Amino acid sequence: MIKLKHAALAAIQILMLQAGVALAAEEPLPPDQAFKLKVSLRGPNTVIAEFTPAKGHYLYKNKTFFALKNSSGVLIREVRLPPGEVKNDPFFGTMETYKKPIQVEIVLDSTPKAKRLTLLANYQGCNEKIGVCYPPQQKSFDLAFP
Amino acid sequence: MAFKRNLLFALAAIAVLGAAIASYALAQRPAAPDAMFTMLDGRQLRLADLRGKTVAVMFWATSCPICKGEMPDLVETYRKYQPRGFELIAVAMAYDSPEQVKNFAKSGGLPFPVVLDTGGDLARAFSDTKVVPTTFLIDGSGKFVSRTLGAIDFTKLRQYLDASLGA
Repeated sequence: MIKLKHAALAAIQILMLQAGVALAAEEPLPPDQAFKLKVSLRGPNTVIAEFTPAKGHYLYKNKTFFALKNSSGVLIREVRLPPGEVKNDPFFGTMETYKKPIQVEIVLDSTPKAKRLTLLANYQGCNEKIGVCYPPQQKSFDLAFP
Repeated sequence: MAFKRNLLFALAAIAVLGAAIASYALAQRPAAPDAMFTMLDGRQLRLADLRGKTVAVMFWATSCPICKGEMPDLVETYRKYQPRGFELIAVAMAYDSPEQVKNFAKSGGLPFPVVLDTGGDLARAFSDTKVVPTTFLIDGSGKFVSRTLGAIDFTKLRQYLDASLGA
């Protein structure tokens, strides 16, 4: 009788474990949904990159950087990243993160002949809830001067 | 007396049904890919050669704080269970810098095989893993037991290893 009870309990336990394994995985958002990015020109010399991390996600300030390609006559003079939220990490020390939407100002130096530019935006972040980090992302944006 | 007998039948029925469903569920689990791992020192390790062992394949990156945070627990678990038939393979993602991986493995004194997924073939073979840490647990028959996104629950892992590896 007791043995049977144990057998029944063991069987139920295995079933619950199986169900647990099957249900455990909460899938992370695709990177483009986890970290939305909009890029636009503001005036003749400034590009605005707007990052919107999804709820429970954050971006690393020191992994957010920009470059240009196929952009004859255009250079990046300055990237103005807003201050982030300070996070103390036992391995990486003090790190700044962005959990809320931010605007990055990319100030350009351009010659009058410059017609267009391709901005490469690099960024990397994590999902705080599941506790996973995404690979570094690189997105390319073609912009034309007005 | 009749009540006791009915209870006995009910429990027996649950046990039989439960065991049947559980064994069906166990049989349905997919097999792990026949992966070949190249370790930092160049030696190769084939997953199929680890049959009979419980294997954890963990995808990680040096840029991932959560991954680094669980290394001490992984080292401790490995030291305790490796002699009993547990193997752990730490696969660094393709985007990681080989130098940083080597430095971290050395400075952290990682006792388990550390692998560079150059080209990303291993991540693709393991459910197209994109985020880290992602840990796959594979049983002695080469079938997946679980896939864990994020930090491992070490209490659960040790319970599983205690149950599956025996004393």
